[in-house]
Amino acid sequence: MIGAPLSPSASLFSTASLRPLESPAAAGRAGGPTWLDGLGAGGAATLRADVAVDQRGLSVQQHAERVLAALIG
Amino acid sequence: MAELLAQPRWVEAAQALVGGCVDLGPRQEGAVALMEAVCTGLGDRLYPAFLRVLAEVNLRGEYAARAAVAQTLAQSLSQGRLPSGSRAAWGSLQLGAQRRSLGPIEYLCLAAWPRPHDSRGPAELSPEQFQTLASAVMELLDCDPDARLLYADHLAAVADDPLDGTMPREVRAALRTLAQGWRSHPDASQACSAFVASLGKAAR
Repeated sequence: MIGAPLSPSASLFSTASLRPLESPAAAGRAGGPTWLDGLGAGGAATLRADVAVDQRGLSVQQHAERVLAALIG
Repeated sequence: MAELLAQPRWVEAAQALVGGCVDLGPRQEGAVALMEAVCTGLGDRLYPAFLRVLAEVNLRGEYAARAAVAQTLAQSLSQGRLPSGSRAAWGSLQLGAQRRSLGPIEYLCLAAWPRPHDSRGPAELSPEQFQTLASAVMELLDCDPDARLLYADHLAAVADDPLDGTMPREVRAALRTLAQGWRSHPDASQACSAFVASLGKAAR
């Protein structure tokens, strides 16, 4: 899983380049929002070990695309 | 290049990962490949998003959901295919420098290193952020006893590898403390606290 080289100084957790698109630019360790914000917040949604009927038997790639579609654009 | 959505749907992603692991079989090749495909799709730059998804699974998942993901991680580890993010070796300063793939916990451990003698600034993760995220990932692995023991041994091996240039000495020492504590007791929070304390001592 080797990707494009990053500068070793690049922060993978709090730099603007990793901030969600259209989110406030100034943030990170200084106290602003980061993409780690809200972890576990937002209600008591329970993840179940169920597979919806229409998602059974999907390929590896199809399952991966469902995960990725919720995260990246 | 993939960009994180303005409002990533973390819970939806976590449910999709759980559903995929269950559908493909938690200890099966397909589920291992699913985790690899997700990390490949995110790329190294967004690998932390995968760690956030794992944390969401732990925080919001019923036991069977967490166990399905933990069993998949254990299977990945036993095959040497732990879903990983690539980072440059700590002493390298140039683009294209030697890189190494790190699994979820060792990746977070390196991100928590404050780098006191380095001009690159503070740690990417504060001690509190490390504690929250690493504890969540480790608690997830605690759902499968094999996963915890396998991963603790793996971390100890990473800490003891003198030829690996990925981690500075103080992070290795702290990682060894974390691995030993976690192997002895399935208490992720305590092991993470010991890691933070060890790093803090080294920085003084």
